[in-house]
Amino acid sequence: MRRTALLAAAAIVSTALAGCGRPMYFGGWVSEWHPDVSLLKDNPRLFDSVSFSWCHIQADGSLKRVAPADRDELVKWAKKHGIKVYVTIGSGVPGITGKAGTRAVKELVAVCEQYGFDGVDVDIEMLGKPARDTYTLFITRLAEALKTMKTPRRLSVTLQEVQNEKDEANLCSDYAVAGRLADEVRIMCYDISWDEPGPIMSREAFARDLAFAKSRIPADKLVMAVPWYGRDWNITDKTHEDILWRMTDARDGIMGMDEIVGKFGGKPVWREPEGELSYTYTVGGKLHEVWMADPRQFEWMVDEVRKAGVRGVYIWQLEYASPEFIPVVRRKVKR
Amino acid sequence: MTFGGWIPDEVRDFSLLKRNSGALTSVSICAFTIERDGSLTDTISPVHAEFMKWANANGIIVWATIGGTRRSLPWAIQGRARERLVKELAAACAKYGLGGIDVDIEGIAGKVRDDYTLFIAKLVSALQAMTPPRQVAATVMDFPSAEDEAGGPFDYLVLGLLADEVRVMLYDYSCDAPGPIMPREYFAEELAFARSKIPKEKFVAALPWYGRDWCGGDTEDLTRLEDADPPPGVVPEWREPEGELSLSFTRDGKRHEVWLPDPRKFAWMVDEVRKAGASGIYVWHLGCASPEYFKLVRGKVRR
Repeated sequence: MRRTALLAAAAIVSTALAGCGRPMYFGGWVSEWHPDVSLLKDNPRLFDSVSFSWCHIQADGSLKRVAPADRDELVKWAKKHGIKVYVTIGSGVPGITGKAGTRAVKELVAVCEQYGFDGVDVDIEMLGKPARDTYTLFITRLAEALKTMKTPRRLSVTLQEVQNEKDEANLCSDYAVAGRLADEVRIMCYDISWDEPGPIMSREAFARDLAFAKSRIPADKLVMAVPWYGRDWNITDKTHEDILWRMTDARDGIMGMDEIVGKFGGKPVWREPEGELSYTYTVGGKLHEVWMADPRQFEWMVDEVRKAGVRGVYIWQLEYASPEFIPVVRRKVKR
Repeated sequence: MTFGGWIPDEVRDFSLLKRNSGALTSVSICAFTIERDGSLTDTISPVHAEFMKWANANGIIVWATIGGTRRSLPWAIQGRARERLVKELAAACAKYGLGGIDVDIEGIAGKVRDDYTLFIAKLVSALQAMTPPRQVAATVMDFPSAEDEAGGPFDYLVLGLLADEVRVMLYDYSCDAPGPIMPREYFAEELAFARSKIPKEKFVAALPWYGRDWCGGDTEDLTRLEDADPPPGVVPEWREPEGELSLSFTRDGKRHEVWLPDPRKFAWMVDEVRKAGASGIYVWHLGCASPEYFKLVRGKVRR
């Protein structure tokens, strides 16, 4: 009996300690589609880094640049606030293979020099297992090139979430190898539901993702990328689109969550065991089901990340996010 | 610093090593050969097996060093053979209770740099997924500069990121013609270059405990002075600026020039390695061990 009580007390202390500790690393992506940086600019002290999707590697290895007109001003502003700026790149297989890959590496070094980026974030998705050697050699060359710059730059690698070794074997990326080569590895903990309505990321899947990633990637490099977006499934038409909290039909051509709930009434429902908000509505005779990341979900995710003792969290995506996420960042991530 | 050394296949007497167990962090057993198809063969004898068991019981990490031959390389680290080799190495780790695999693949050309890098990457991934995870060491040739390294198969910087240890072989300066095993000046250049590319915590300086006897066009590696069998009265002479012991003599009408293994040389090398910053020292090879060497290891390396 006494032993049980002691163990229970130890568990309470352990849980309390797990919640303490230093501020975690925090940052987020800004996509090329909705370049809204208001949340970033209103809260510069909370951010360690920001990643802009401003480049895409083309088939010949050249970079297609899609930066907004205020790119230089944004980079300057971020640096002034001590926020590291990454350029996030995507590519298909041809752009990272052979001579094209060599060209891409050279051009990435050049844009880092030219625009003062602090690092490159490689977010190459959906290539699959056949591209594994090509992908590995590409990030190897990029790591080497960035490390040997006059002012060495950082390499971030953004990887698809997997929950076990078998699933990982089907990816183009190898978690352990990325964990060695990169300075930071971001695991995209979202998108578990795609064709059928369901959570963006459930508690169970998140726990598995975190445990597997931690088994392969050093904790001080591991960053869990979590959602601040949602998905609206049109069940009748079997289509779906991603939504953000403060999007508007008038400005963006897509209704955001605030607008949807305001227009169709009722309240989103908190769902367990998923640990996520969902909402259904009908428009034009078509049934919609929405699953949406919200501050409550973000909070339990951050708690899990802190308990795991890994480096921090990254947000997809910062644009048109609900300002209600910010108190959670202050209270749970940066305290 | 950590300390360890390679044990060539032919070494069977481990008594000195056992008496100096406290000085050893790890040993690497050179009893594994890779074949062209990626299969692995070993010549682990009962004596080796007993020594490996003893080492594990005494907290000394046992690595398997793998090499290849002209018959097997580079094919064994390419394509399907590479996949097979990685699997067989993981299986060997489990079978023999190995702490890691030391990849000592020499004699490959610069054009297989990507194959070598991919092989190390895949091996790292496979061994890290084991329970418990195993380590990967890359044993690489020495280079004094980036230009020399660029043409070779070993990318120091990338290996420094991928592998758990990078062992740079700082010896064999003289091969075809008689000369020092590793003179001071060249040693300093190579040490500085290796440190500029490999993180301190992964950099292991591999030093010579052997010597070499050049006679005509032939060479023979030596463990100690007696192996050279010099005529009476011929004594070795300390040579500067090389910082090495040597002697020469004529026997049976043949001129011998010998550069010797020597604790004094090992001592200055250890001092330089410590100054340069390295996580450890490895020696080729532990079959050349002597009480004098171990005294230096305890006093200078493991202090």
